[in-house]
Amino acid sequence: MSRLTATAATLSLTFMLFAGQTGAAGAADASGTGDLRTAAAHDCQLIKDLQPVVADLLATVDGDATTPGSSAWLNAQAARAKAAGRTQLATWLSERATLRQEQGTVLKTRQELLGTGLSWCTAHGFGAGA
Amino acid sequence: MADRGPALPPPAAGSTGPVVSSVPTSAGATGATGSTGSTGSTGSARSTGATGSISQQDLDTLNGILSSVGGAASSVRSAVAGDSASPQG
Repeated sequence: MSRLTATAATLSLTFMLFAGQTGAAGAADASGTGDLRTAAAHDCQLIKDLQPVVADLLATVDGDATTPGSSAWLNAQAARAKAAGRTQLATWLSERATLRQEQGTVLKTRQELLGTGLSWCTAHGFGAGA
Repeated sequence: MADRGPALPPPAAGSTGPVVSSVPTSAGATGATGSTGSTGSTGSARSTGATGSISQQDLDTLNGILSSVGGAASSVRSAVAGDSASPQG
């Protein structure tokens, strides 16, 4: 649970930075060439900040039956509910497990997208340590 | 002409927003549309640093990535937190 709390805090902080510095619509609009580099540096920093957040979320989603919120955990809960005769709860938990798997798939594609962005950042001098 | 480095996925044709069309937005992933207000972006305003030039289109795409990833991460985080606190079997 502490990992989840830490993830939530990190994600909230990232979004606060994102909203506060680029606008709620996620805009880093720049008209001058200097502004372009500044905005790109900012975006690249956010991309770097988001990477561990997404990785942490994926670790939770793909975790085993002892990881609350993971697909395996939801399936285990569904099995327990079914064994206890709580069929409606079991069905709901099973559906949540399926949804969690789908969310994991989406998150993996987003992680790949982050990698694309990070490659661009690195190639343009905004990589690690920039 | 400076080397622009690896290309980012371009925004969708006819759109000024950084729509990352190749990424599915199902499974509760929200916030995938990050409008940037990048009106008049032609890509002509570029710096020419040693590490490659940067266009407004590049920024639009980066913003699209951030919006898409941020939305999905937020959605999954909320779902995980909700399920962890829900009635257990």
